[in-house]
Amino acid sequence: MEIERTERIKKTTAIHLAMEAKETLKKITEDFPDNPDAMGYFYSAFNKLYTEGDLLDNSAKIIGTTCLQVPEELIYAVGAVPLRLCSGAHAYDQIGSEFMPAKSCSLVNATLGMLHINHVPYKDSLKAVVIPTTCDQKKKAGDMLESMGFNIYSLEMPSRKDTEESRIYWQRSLISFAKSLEDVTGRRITKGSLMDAIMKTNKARAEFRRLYNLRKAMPPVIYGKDAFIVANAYFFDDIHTWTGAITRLNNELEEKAKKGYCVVNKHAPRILFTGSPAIFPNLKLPILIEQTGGVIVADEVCSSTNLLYDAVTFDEANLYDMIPAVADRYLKPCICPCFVKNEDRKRKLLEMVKGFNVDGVVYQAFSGCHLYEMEHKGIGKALEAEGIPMLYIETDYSPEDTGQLSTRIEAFMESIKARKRRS
Amino acid sequence: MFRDLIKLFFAFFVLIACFPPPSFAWFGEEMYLSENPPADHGEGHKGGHKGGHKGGRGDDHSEHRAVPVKKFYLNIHDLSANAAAYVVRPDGSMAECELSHDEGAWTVTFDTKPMDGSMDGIFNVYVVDKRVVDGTLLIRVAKMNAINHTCGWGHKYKSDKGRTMPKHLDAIPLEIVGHDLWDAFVHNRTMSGDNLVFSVLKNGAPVKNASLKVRTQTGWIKMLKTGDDGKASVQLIRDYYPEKWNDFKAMKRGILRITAEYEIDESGSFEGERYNKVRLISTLQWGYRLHRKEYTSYVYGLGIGILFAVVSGVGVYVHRERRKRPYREVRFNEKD
Amino acid sequence: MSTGRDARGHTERCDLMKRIREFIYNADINRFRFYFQILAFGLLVYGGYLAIDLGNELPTFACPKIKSRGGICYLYPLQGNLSLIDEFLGERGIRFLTKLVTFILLFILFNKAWCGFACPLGTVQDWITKLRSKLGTRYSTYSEGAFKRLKKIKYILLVLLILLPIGVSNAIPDIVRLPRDFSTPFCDICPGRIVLPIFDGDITQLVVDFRSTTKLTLTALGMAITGVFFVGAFVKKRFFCLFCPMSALHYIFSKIGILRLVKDGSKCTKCGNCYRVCDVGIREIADDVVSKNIVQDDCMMCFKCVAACPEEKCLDVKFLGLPVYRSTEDGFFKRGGKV
Repeated sequence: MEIERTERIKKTTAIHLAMEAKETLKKITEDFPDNPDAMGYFYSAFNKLYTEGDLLDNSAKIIGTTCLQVPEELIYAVGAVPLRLCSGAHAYDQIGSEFMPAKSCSLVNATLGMLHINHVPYKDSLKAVVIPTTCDQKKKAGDMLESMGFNIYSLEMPSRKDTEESRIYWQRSLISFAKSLEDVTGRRITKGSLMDAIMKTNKARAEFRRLYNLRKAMPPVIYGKDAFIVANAYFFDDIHTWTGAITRLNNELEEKAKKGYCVVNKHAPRILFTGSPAIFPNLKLPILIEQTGGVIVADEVCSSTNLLYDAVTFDEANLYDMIPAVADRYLKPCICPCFVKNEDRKRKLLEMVKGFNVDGVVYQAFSGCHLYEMEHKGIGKALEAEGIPMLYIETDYSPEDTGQLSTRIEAFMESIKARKRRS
Repeated sequence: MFRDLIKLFFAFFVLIACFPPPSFAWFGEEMYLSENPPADHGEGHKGGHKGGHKGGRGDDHSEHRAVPVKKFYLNIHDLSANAAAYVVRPDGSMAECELSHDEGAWTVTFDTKPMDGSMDGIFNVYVVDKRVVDGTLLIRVAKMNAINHTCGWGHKYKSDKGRTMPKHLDAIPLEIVGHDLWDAFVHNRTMSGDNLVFSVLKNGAPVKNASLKVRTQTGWIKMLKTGDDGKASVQLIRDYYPEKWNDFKAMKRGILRITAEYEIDESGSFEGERYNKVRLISTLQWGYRLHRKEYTSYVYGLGIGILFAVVSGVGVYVHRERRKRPYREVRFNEKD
Repeated sequence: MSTGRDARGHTERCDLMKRIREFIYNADINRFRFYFQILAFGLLVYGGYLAIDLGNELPTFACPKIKSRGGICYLYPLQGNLSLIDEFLGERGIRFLTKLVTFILLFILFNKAWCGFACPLGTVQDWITKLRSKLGTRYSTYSEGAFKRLKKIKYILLVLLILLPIGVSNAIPDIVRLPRDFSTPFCDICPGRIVLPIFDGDITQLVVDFRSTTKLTLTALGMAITGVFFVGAFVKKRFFCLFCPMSALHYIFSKIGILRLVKDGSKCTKCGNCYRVCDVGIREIADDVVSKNIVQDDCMMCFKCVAACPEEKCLDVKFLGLPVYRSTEDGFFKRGGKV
């Protein structure tokens, strides 16, 4: 009986998931004019993944990750492939909420739900799931997943990133992680393999920076929703293919920019999107913002910019230098609110506001996410001091509050437009 | 008995007249120039410092600080009226000099202006004295190589052979030229153990078979004869052995005096007196010191260096090996 | 992002300037520095063979004990002059001041880049570091506390090298009158004096000098320091530079340097790349997001930090106010992340 029930739920969830994905993709592609040609690759990638569920090469060893602090260079260096498991599906969220507490973060619910009914490509290929000890819910999710039968590795993260002890602690933590990766995959990390991995990822990040800089264009040449799609594709896509696709997109956008192309009218409010991550298919807020006439020119979320912005640099091409270099890249510039003393996030947001000529900030926090919720006041004050309005939205994956949110967002856009007209 | 004694004396005098003793016995007539007045010849240290030299700076004459006026003393008091002094500048030109008798001694004084480094090098100072004594024309020459150098001027003439090679003056009847007494940086580099080479020149031409005496103030004497090329060489001894290590002064200079003698059978007359032999006596005074390797040690130096390198290397290695074990805890002081 | 096109010539000139700038900013400064160091080493150690003399007031090690030197390190005449400080009323004093002013002028021209690009002892240490890297031996770093304590040593050495020669002079005869062998105390213990002449085939500096107790102690100390120098330079990058009194003397005038390293703190993401590649191990380059002039007393302006910074225009090397080299995103990613 139980098995029958589980099978039924599996099927219905798959259908719901496909419907959700289709709907989001429809909104993204059809509600907006003139999508870049190169985006076609990304749209179809998501389509295939969510409706056909088959993207990854079966022969690869897959290491599942949650949170962006997991160093993918080390995973590539042992010949495995990282797969970011953070899910944005409401269908999975509903599954997860059955066994999770009421007031828990949608993202964790969705991820747990997804893993619970094995709706992940090649679950058998998931050699391990790496969960950094960032926020409470992720930490305990690790425990729950272990009881579900997954091979969990808890990657110990320090709570601060500015002291010498925390830096050394994190480097040691990564060194142990590297050693257990070697055991899991049976391959040693060598100078050459780590160097290749660093070069690969740095190349991908270089292309992402190009896109990041192209979004500074006035007037904008690409919608935020597309940028989210591109970055979200990085979670599961093969890195070479992904780099190739984003390069094509960048080239196309550069051409468009030279010709003075604008994707939206010149007076559209330029928005910075920050807070809890927007992950496909939960692009609810970005789509709402852009449907009401705004354009998200910049974002500070761990599913997009924070994932791909920083790069690794090292001095000597030896493991004793490269591995701490990789460690440093994942700790020091990280502005995840799981760290105590997050002044760097304020500075980065202010710098982005200046660099992108941002008119307003939309701060999304998932209900139950204490970290982002508790930071929003400080961020709001800092932005207010610079004269930038901020809209704080507490939401989750369910589509029920769409109507209410669109009203608030419309009002926010209007106030920004009025402000711009006045000044 | 008494008659025998007189016969002996007479025979002795006849002997002396027929077979004059070797010329060496006449070396007491040498005339030399020195930096110090003749009263305290020999030691040549403190006391009577002239020419802008501050007292208590150490007991070596500062060859590294030039002075505007240089003064040298002759050791004899019976200078002839016809005595002449010559000073050759480092660039080859002649300098004005004054030969006078003051403070109880004959002195040669000249200035080394300009003090801007253009006169960086060796001044050759000569005094030539002629007189006829017992039918012999005795020509005495005293020579001094005076270093005029301040390291502050730089060492820009170090590749200029015209400045660094020793000069001679054709006008001088008998001249001793010391080879390699100083280096290209115009510092005195004569040290115990060096092979000293001297040329004897008569009016600029090398003299064969001249007698040369090399003498240190401690009493070491070496008698040499110049060869066909007018050169003679000898190895300088080490003679500085202080009693206690605390008394050791590495920069202590000993005085080296070289005398050349040559006789020519030539007749003529000089200032109304006839002579049938010419005797030329020439001197050169220089300083020397101990070779650096006498008081420095490679064994100790390298020993200490290698010891410290090994100790620190082992220390680093041990430290790294110990660090392979888990992180050490902070220790607390258990005292109450 | 479209640029207006006015006269064709103007655009072409802009293009050329842009391309030159791109070429420089994307360049591998480490490679350039490697070759420049060889050139400077040749000039300073072997320059005498070509009659090159860059003066006696060089703001970098260039030991007078090397017979074929191309110039003299200022610390040597500084100590020598200070040991005659009682004669400073008059010409000697004026000469001292001229030398000091020449030193300061030479220094502020290239600021602390003298250390990173010209100093022959620094070059020797960099070569030893390259050897260690080839051998695959791990390097050592100082902990924060150790670094803070050790960096004070160079000030102590600077004070000593000024006071001891003054003690030799007649300036304060009633209180102290040190033996003449203390005239150049730092030169006697400097590893540059011992190591650099070896490159000219001169090993006469590798001795302990027994002429007096002072000289004996100083030369023995010098050999000991040289022994530790070799091991230290092998395990720590630019080991000696943390203790160098020339560096301390530099820092006094560093603020008025013409060549500057400035940081725009607002662009800094605190990624720490600059700190991680810094040979000397300076934390402030990463942690300080407020100051503009980011040169510390240990900095040797090798500009590895600029090459390692992935943020556009965060770190700037300015000469007379114009940026000569700066951190660019393009440059960083073209270099692939390897400094």
